[in-house]
Amino acid sequence: MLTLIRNEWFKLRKKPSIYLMAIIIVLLVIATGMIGKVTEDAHSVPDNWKEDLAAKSEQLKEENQEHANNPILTENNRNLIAVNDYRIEHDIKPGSQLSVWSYTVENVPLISVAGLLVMIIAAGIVSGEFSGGTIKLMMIRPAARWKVLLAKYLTVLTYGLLLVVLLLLASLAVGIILFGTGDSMIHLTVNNGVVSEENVLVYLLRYFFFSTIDLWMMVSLAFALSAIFRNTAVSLGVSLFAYLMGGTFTSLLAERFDWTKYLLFANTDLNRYVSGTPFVEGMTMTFSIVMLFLYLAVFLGTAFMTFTKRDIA
Amino acid sequence: MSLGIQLKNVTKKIGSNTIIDQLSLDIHKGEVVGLLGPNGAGKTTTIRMMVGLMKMTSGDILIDGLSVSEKRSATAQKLGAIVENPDFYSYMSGLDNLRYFAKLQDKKIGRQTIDEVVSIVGLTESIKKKVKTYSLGMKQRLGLAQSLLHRPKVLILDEPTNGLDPAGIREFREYIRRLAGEQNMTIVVSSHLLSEIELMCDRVAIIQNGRLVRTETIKETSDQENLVKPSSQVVMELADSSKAEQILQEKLPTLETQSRGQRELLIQADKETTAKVIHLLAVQDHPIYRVRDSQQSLEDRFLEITDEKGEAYADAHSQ
Repeated sequence: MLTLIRNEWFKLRKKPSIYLMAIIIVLLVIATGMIGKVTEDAHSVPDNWKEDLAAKSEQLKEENQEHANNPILTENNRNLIAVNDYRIEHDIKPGSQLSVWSYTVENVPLISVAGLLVMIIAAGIVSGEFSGGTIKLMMIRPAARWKVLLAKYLTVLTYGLLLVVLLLLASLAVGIILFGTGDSMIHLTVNNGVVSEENVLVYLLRYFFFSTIDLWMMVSLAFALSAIFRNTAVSLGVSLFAYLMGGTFTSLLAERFDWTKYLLFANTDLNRYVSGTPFVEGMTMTFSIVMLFLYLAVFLGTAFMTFTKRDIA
Repeated sequence: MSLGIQLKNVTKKIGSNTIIDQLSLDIHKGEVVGLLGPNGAGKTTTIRMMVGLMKMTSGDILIDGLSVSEKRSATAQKLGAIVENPDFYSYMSGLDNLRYFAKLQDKKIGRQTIDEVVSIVGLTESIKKKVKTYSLGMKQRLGLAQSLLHRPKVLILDEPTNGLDPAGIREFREYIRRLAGEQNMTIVVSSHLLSEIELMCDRVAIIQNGRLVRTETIKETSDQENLVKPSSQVVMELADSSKAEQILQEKLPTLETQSRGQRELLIQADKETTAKVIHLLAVQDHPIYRVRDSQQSLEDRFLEITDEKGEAYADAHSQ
């Protein structure tokens, strides 16, 4: 099995595109760093920050009274007020400037870019062998079909992991160089109006990891479609569409239907259970994790079934 | 067990279509068998089932005594094959391709073995170039190389001479003969180049509409046909064919003759009768310029056989 994975990497290593993707990630991180540096002033905090926060809280309370019928807005505002109150009470000044931590958190959306790139690899790794005809020379050799497919899947996952880790490390490196470590290592997490203190590094790693979940799911989908349809364009197209539209679509549905909670995208953001509100009332983190594994089982199960059973013509 | 490959009532159905119908064929070790058949006859399907890319609907194929449907991994170790086009990773060098395929094999294949095989197929000079710069003939050579890396007992080659130049074809043919002779390798070759098959193979199996319609031993037809089949056709080139025909009809009334033009006479005769005919004409002072065996080429026989059966098949289905 290890040999098979190493063999997949042997082929992947010879592709210039995987290096190009890594370069894109690093360049994007540097670009966001530059933008952050230029607009740094916007983050400055006034000396009388306690009064400032209190005034902001008052504003939010008024807003809540006006929009009492909008539960999402009021919930969000209540959490902000709770954080402000906590800061005033415990004398925790908001980060006076952009630090490596806040900068890295701001880079989390770049995970989607890494996701897109890994999906391109995932969508082609099986179907590419079919369109290139090399699947024949591969499958007339002793390795069992399921092992070959598993090796390919693990290869895609390791490549994805490398890109995500690269994004994290590059963000930390650029962040430290441009913004320094900042003056506070405390992150305030708020859940249901209850505020708790947390080490910023713990928070960062969890937030980063949870944010990659929809990447893993979509990469798995692209991979499964690649094995099922044996066509790179179809698998990339379908999974990209799902990746870009799935979240929006699910939010729209969530307002009206309770069964939305069974949809994949209602479950991919585990950050909601730590701070924020679930997609649909009553969802828990355990429920979401179970749903994620069910979806993964369906994707991979179908892929393995078709790949091992079907004739290679 | 002296059989290299054994096909036992192999049937392949896709939907309600029967692609291969109860195909049985025994191929001995050290034998080179040519697989012939018109387009769509089922040659490639048969080959794909032998190498385990396609599953059979019923029946079984044994490779060196092991069942492909039950022990594919074990039979794969005994097999080397080219299936249809020699497709490789074009962004990698020929050498990297071979190294990759060598690593997919269960046994360890060293660099020395790879170099050896590369020099056998005559690619040493260009092996470090990317495959996308290769010609079809070079890819074909690389295809042969990858099939030989693990020293298989059975070699299955689909259209292997496609794209090779005449010198390459001859080299290839001689190498195939040597593998069968020296290493007792069992070799199946499918090709459209009938003359090529005729030179390379011990035996041909003709497939049509998914059925085995005939196997023919090549050596037999070339060397012994005249003795085995008395009705062989002989062409004589003479001064005057009608006059010669008269002479022969007088002396040998049972002889079948047919004049073709003024100078050619066709007779149906075995070797002994041919000698008699020459003697008769010679003593009559009738000039004989040339006598030759009008041997049908494999191509003629192939077309004859497939045509016949094709019509028979069509008839059977139209009724």
